[in-house]
Amino acid sequence: MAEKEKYQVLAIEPVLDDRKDIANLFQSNHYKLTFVDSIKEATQFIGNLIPHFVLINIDQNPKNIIHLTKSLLDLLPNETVKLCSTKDLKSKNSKAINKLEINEFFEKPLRGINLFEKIKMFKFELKELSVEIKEKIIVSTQIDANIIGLSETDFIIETDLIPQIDEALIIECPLIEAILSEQKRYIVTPNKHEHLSSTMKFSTITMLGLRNEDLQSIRAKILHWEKL
Amino acid sequence: MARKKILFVDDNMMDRLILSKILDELDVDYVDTKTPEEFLNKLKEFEPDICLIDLNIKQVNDGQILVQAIRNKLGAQMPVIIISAIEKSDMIKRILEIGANDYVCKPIDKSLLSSKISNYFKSRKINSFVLPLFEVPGKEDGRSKIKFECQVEMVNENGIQFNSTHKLKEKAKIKIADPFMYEIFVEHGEVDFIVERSWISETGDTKHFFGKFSRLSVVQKQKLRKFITTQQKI
Repeated sequence: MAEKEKYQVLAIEPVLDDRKDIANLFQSNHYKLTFVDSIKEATQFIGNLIPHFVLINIDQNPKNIIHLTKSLLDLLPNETVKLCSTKDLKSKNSKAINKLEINEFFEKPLRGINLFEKIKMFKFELKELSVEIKEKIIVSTQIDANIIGLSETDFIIETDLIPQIDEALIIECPLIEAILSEQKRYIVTPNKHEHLSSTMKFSTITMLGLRNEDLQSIRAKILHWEKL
Repeated sequence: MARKKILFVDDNMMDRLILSKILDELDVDYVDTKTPEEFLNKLKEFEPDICLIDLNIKQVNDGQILVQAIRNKLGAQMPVIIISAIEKSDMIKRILEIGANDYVCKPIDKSLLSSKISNYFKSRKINSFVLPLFEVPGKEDGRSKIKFECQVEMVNENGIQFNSTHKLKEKAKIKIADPFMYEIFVEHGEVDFIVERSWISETGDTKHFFGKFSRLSVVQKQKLRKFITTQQKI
């Protein structure tokens, strides 16, 4: 992930004094720290934004803190770094939450160089989110091209697309449209102009269904053009 | 080098003569037939390199049968050019849809037909007549847009991996304005990509490329993370 990227940090920390320690921990400009008071608020936050780090204070009032923490963690992708903090690592809640899929358990107060280094290490190990699209999704894509040559049957386009021979292409070009009587079907054909074959920059497009009036228009157009 | 062979069918004697004259000048071997039956009989025996079929408006269905017969007997690679006086675009479209490779209007323009035949010979590695190419002068604007379809394979925070029939060069700039982009960013508009990687599958039949987002706002990045997370759970 790019260094200039802002890493979203969501801290569930109702204790105001402890927020200062967290702010110190994530003091670098690379982090954008957001505090919320409860897991409920955190759930709402995650509905809009997936954080890179989550830090949960598990010493909260609700009796069902374990269940709530698990529900929150389930909403997050594997790539989010999940951190928990507590005053007592040996408490019943700590032991239960430690069994959940979390990256690190911190004991309060959240201070010290080791903690800072650990956060830094997590930042370097962050993975980008990625998903394979299983559903068949076809998108219409567009690329610029330039028509550099015209003959009575074909035109030559210069583009960064290397089109498949024999495939039809949709090409919008005011120059050709102004010459032809109506929209034609364009097919990619093998290059037959030897002097253009040394580079992959050019492709030959054959115009199908040309009428005599189209040919006359093409001939009139190219009458004073230079041979390529 | 063996001379190239052309088989054609035309029920009009005058047209057959015109066509024969053009083919004489192309220095090819050809056989002219008068009926579809005669044409089909000659097909396997003569083993042409190109088939020319004359069609009138009532014969489009016959044309379809002929094209299918050619495909069945000589394979999908056999070039078939339809010659017809039909000028209606929807009929021409239908003719091309029946499986023909190309279409030439009557009255036959000699240079056009010669060039088209040469194109197909050329695609079979035979040198032949090529119509001259003229350079679009500077005052003319050849700027164009090519539209093509791609299938989405993978989305990550940097971009999208696609596959396509066509190959893209690395660093190519593409634009996508599609409902799928709306699904990700919940806003209409074009999304710009730069092709970062472009490769062909090991089997050689699929072309893939990874398009990196050219620029995304902070809000768009957040929406992208949300989209990926939602998709991961599907």
